[in-house]
Amino acid sequence: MSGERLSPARRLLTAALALAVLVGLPLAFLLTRDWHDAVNEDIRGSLPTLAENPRLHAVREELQAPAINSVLLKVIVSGTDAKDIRAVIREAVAQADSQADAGQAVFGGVFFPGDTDGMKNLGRFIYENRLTLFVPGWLQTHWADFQKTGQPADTFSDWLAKRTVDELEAFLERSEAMAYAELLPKDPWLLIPRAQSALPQPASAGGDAVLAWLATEQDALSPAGQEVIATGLAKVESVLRNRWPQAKIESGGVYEIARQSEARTRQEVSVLNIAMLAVIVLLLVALMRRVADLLLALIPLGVSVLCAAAVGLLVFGKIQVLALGISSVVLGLAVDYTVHLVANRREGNLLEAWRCIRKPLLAGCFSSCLGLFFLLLAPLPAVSQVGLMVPAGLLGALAAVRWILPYIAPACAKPPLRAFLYRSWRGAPRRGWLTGLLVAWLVLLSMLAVNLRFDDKIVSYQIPVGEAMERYQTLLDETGQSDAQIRSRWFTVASTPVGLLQQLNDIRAAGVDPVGPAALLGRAKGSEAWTVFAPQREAYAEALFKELDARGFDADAFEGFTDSLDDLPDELTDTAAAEALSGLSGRLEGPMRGLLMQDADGWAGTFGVAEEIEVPASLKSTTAVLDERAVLNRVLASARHAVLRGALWGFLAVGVVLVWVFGWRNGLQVALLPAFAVVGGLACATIWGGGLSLLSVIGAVLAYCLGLDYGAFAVHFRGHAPVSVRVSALTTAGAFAVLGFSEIKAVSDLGVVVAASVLFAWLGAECLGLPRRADRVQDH
Amino acid sequence: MLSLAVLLVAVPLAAVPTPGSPSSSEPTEPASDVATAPSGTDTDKDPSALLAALAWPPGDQVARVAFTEERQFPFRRFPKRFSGTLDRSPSGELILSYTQPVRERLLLLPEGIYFENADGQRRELPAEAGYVRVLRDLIGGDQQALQRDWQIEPKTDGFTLTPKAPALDGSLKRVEVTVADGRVRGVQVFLSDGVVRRYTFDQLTWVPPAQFGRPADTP
Repeated sequence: MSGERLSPARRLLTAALALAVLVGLPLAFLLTRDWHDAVNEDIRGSLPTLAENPRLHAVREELQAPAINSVLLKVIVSGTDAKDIRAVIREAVAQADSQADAGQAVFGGVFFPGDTDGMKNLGRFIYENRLTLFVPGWLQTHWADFQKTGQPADTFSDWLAKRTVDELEAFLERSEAMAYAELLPKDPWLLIPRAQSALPQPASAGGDAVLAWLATEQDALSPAGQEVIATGLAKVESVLRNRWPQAKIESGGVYEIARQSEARTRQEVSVLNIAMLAVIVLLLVALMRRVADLLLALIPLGVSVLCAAAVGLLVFGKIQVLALGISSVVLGLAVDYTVHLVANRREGNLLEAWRCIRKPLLAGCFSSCLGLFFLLLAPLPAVSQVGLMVPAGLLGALAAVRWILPYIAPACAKPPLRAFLYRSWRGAPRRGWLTGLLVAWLVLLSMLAVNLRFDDKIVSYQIPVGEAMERYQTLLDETGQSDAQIRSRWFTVASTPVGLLQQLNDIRAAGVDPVGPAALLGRAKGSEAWTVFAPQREAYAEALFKELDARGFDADAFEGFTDSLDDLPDELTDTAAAEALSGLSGRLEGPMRGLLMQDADGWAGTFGVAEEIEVPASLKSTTAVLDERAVLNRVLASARHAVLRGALWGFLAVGVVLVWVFGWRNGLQVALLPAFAVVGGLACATIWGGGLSLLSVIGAVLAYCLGLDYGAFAVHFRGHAPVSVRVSALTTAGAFAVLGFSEIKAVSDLGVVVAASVLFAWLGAECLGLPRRADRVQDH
Repeated sequence: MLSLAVLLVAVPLAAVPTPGSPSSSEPTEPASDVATAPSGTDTDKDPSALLAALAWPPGDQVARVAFTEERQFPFRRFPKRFSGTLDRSPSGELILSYTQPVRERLLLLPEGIYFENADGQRRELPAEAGYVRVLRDLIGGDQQALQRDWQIEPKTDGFTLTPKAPALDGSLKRVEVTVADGRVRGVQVFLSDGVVRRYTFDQLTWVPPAQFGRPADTP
C-alpha cells in the first residue's frame, strides 16, 4: 500500500481512528480523574514503605518531633539582663499565640537552653539518683574492659579499684575537675562528671545572647504549618523589636529550611523545564527546514504524554512526582521518533519513510520497552512506575508515528533537514575510527573504575539552602544539640522503663557501645557485671581504700562513699530504677525531651553510636536508627542495587531480541553501542559530580534506551549518514545538559549521565554507520 | 547539693597570675619595665600602685611567661603539677596554654572567653558567671573592676585580694600575689571548696606573633 494511492477519505479515516484511540481514549479516562489526587507530591511517597515494625516507625516520628517542630531563637540586647530578655520572649510567644487564628496555636512552650536556673531541678535529681541511674551502665562498661584482660572474675574488685583511682587521677589533670572538688570524694566513679559530659553541652552563644527553643504546635513540614510558624515567629520578633529596637535577633528551624527548599525546588524545576524546552525548540528550528515538520512532533509528543499518564493512573492509582519527572524523558524519545520519520522522508511521503525506518525503530522501541520493563522490579514505587509509564508513552508515540503522521502530513519534495546534516564520512577509514573509539572507551572505563563510588545520600536529592541551613546549624551548636562524637543516633523501645534498661544491656551485649547519656544507663538485675560485683563490694571498698592511700590521696575522705556501697543493692533494684527513670523522663525539657520518652504504648530512649554501623539483627525488633535520613540513605542504596540488577537482566533480554532482529554481528553491535556510551557517560558523571546516585543509574538505563535507537539506525542505514541520530542526539544531549546545571546533585547527575552518554552513543553511531571496506569497494 | 548549674561551669578559676589589659595595648601605668616596677613603701598602700605591678610591658611581639601550677585538692596529700605558658598579644589578647600533663587552653579574646579542651573542642564561658568575671578582671588587669570587686591589702612580698562582690565570694576566698623585683613571681588562689592553686612564673620572653597561643612544643 502506498501513500499516493490512498484516497483523502481513507487517509482521514485512518488518522481519525488512530487519533480517537491514541488521544480520545486516554483523554477521556484522564478527564474522569481528580487531578488534585492524581499526583503524590510528597517525595517520601516515592520511597518504599520502610520494612520495619510500625511501633518503631511511630516512635521515630515522635522522637524526632521535638527537633522538627521547633524554632530556635537567639536574642542579643547589649547591657540587658538575660532574665528580662527571657521574660519578654515568654510574653511575646504568648502574644503570638493569642493573636493566632482560633484553633491555630503556634507555639507549644518555651525552653531556654542557657538558663542554668531552669536546669537546677534536673541537676538535683540526677545528683540524688546518680547511683540508681548510672552505676549499672558504668559497671557494665568496666566489666567489659575487665573481661578483655582475661583475669579471673574473683580479681574484679582489685582491678576495678585500681581502675577507679587511675580514672580519678586522670580526671584531676583536667581543668574541669576543679568544679567537682567537693563532689569527688562522694563520687570517685565520676558518675556526675560523666553524666555532665554526656548531656547536651551548655548553650554558648556569645556574651549577652539569650537562646530560646520554641516548640511549635504546627507541622513544620507542611506548607500550611510553615506559614503559621513564620507568621507567629514574625510576631514574636516584632514584640522584641518594639521593646528593644537595637536587639539583634536570629532564628532558624526545620520549617524554614523545608519552606525554602520547596520554593527553590519549584523554581528550579520550572526554570529547568523551560530551559530544556527552549533548547529543544531552538535546536529543532535550527536543524529543520520547515515549521510544519516541527509541529508534527507535537502529535507523538502529546500521545506519549497521554498514554504514559493514563497507564500510570490506571495501574497505580496515583503517580509519584519523582516518576513524573523521570518519565519526562518520554517527551524526548517521542520527538526523536518524529525526527527519525521526517528525516528519512527525503523526496517521498511519510508512509514511505515509515517503511524505511520500520525495522530499526521497532527494534529500538521494543528493546527500550523491554529494558525499561525490568524497572518494574525495583523496590521504589516511583521507579517501578517509570518502568510502566515510559514504555506506555513510547508505544503511544510509536503508534502515532505509524498511524497518524503518515496520513496527515502532505508530501514534500524538499529534504526536511538542513543540508549539513546529510554529510557523510565517506572517506574516513572505518577500522581506524573504531580503534580510536575503543581506545577512548578503555580510557573512560579505567577512569570510571578509578573514580567509581556511589552516593546514596538523600541530601543529594535536596536543593541546598545554604544560608538557612548554616544559620540553623550554628544555632543548634550554640544550644548544645550537636555532638561531634556521635556518628549515628539510635533509639530503642520497650513497654516498661526496666525493659528499656534491659534493652540497653542487650545492646551492649550485642557489641554496640552507646555514647551519650544512655551510655551510663542499664539494668543491674540479671547483668553479669552486677552479679560478679555485688558479692565483691566489701573487697572492693578495701582495695579502693588501699589504692587511694598508696597513690597520695587522703583515703579517709572517701569513707562516706565506701560505706555507701553497703546500700548499693537497694539503690539498684528494678523498682528503684523504674522510679528514677520515670522521674528523669518527667524532668527533661525542650530538645532533651527527645532523649527519653514515655507514651501510652511504652517507653523509648535515644542514644548515640560512635560509628555508622548497621543495627545488629538481634536488636532490630526493638532498636532502629533515629535519623530518618539514614534510613532513607539505606533505602536509596538498596534501590540502586535493585535497579542495577533489573538493568542487567534488561540488557541481556534486549541483547537477545536485537540479535534475533539484526543477526548475530549487527545485533551485538546495536546492543553494545549504548553500553559503550553509558560507560562513558558514567565516567563523565563521576569526574563531574562525584559519586553516582540512584538517579545516575536510572539515567544510565534511559541513556541505554536512547542509544539503542542510535545503534539500530546506524546499523540499518550503514553507509549513509545517520541523519536522524544527529538531530536526536543534539536535541537530547542539549536538553539533558541543561539538567547538569541543576543545584540538586542527583538531578545534575542524571543530566550529565544522559547528555554524555547520548553524545558518546552518537559518536559510536557515526562510526558504526561508516561503510565497511567491502561496501566501499562495491561503491567504487 | 550539686546543681546542674554547677555542672555546666566546670571550668577552672584558673590563672589569675599576670595582668594587662586584653582590650587595650596601652598599660594603665607608664610602661615601665616589669623589672623596675614600684617597690617603695609610700606606694605600698595605694591599690593602684600595687596593681601596677601587674602591668604588661608594651611591645610589637607576643609577651610570653612560662609558668608552673600546683593544684592542691583537699582530698589529696600531694598537689598535682601542671605547666604551660601565658601569652599576651600586642593587641591585648591573652591565651593561657597548659602543656603538661594535658593540653588545654583558656582564651581571653575581645569577643569572649573560651575554654578549649585536650580534644580541641572550644566552649565559650558564660559572661555573667562569677568565675568568668574573675578571669576577665584579674588576667585582663582591669584595675577599675579589681578595685570595685576586691579588697586589696598589701603584704610584705606583694598583696592579697579578697573578694568584695557576692558573685565572687561564693567561689573564692582570696588571691595572694607575690611580687619580687617589681614583677609578679607567684600567685596563690584559695578557692572556697578548699582547693589551692599555686602559680610560679618565669621570666618574661618575647616571641613572634605567629607563636601566639602556641607553646614551643605544640604540634
